[in-house]
Amino acid sequence: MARSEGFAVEEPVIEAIQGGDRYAFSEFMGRHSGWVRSVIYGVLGRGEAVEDVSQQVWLMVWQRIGKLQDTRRWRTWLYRTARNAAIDAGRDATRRRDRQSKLAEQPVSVSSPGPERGLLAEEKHHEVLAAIGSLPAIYREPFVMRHVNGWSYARIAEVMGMPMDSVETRLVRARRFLRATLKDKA
Amino acid sequence: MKDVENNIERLIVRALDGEINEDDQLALNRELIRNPDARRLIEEFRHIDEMTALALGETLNNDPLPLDVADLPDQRAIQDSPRNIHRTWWLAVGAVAAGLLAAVSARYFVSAPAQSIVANNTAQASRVQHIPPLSPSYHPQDDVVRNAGMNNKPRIKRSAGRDAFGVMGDDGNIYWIEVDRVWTLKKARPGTVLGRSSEGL
Repeated sequence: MARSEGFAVEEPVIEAIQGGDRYAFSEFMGRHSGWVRSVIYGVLGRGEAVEDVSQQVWLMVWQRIGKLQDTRRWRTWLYRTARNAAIDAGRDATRRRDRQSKLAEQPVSVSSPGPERGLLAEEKHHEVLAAIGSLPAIYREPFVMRHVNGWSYARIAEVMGMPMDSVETRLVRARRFLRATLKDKA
Repeated sequence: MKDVENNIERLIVRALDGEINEDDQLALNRELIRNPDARRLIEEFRHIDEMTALALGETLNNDPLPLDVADLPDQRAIQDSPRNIHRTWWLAVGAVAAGLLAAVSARYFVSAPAQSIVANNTAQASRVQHIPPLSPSYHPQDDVVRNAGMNNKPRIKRSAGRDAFGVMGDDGNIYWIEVDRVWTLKKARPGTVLGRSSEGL
């Protein structure tokens, strides 16, 4: 798999972190927390839990990075760590929702919009996030990686461990799904 | 017709994602010129991309570092944490238990059948078991000297050994048999000079 596609060479940084270097960890986290958030969002499909899960993921990374033997595979390792944490968080949230099923359905939570945003724009923003949230997770994950991080198909394929054709197919289907969903709401 | 639409859809998505090659771009351009549905589709997809990128960017990209590294526990403390020590301890216990089990199994499976076979012939067993081991300082001439005058059969050489082999029994089991053997030469060959040398024995 090509490693030249924009990922920095992180192996020495990983080894420094394994040796307990907090500064190296902070730098590493700064470089990769964006796409880790997008992975979590891609799995969960909603924004309110992303920060909590992201904290858990980075704490896990710090605690478990000593066991990462092949430092060249850190991207896949980090992706899987984030994805598994998000899946666990999703299960917990589902259980909680089941317990509180009598409560009214909550609207999709988003970060607070700026004051300049009009009511219509905000409504559209909610609609778009709800449509993304309603995507099947297998389409949402690569779609979010592509649109948040601007990643190429090759890099998405590398991190997710799948062929590029599959990435392309999922991105096409995600757009088809979003088009249909947003058209219905319009 | 459906395949053509899917292919156009795929080309549009590739173009929007910056993944299209020159040949595909030319094909897409031709399609966009002659097909109004393709033009409408690319506009809709472009609009969706803009909206989703904006919404996702606002939701995900405005946060600082998720963790303050100063609050993290020390790496060495994590590696020496009670949980990890607990795991290591269990590994050691497991290794010792496996060793003991192997030793007991070896003793049982190797010794038990041999003993049961030998026990069928108690006379042989007792004879075999009561052979004293040879002393490293044993010399044949010592026996000659010791037995001279007491016995007309001077014992001049004795050796012992043990053979081990497996035998398939009628019951289908494989039995491990160990046989102790002893050779005692009680008469010197004619012409053998008894003395310091054990030549010709």
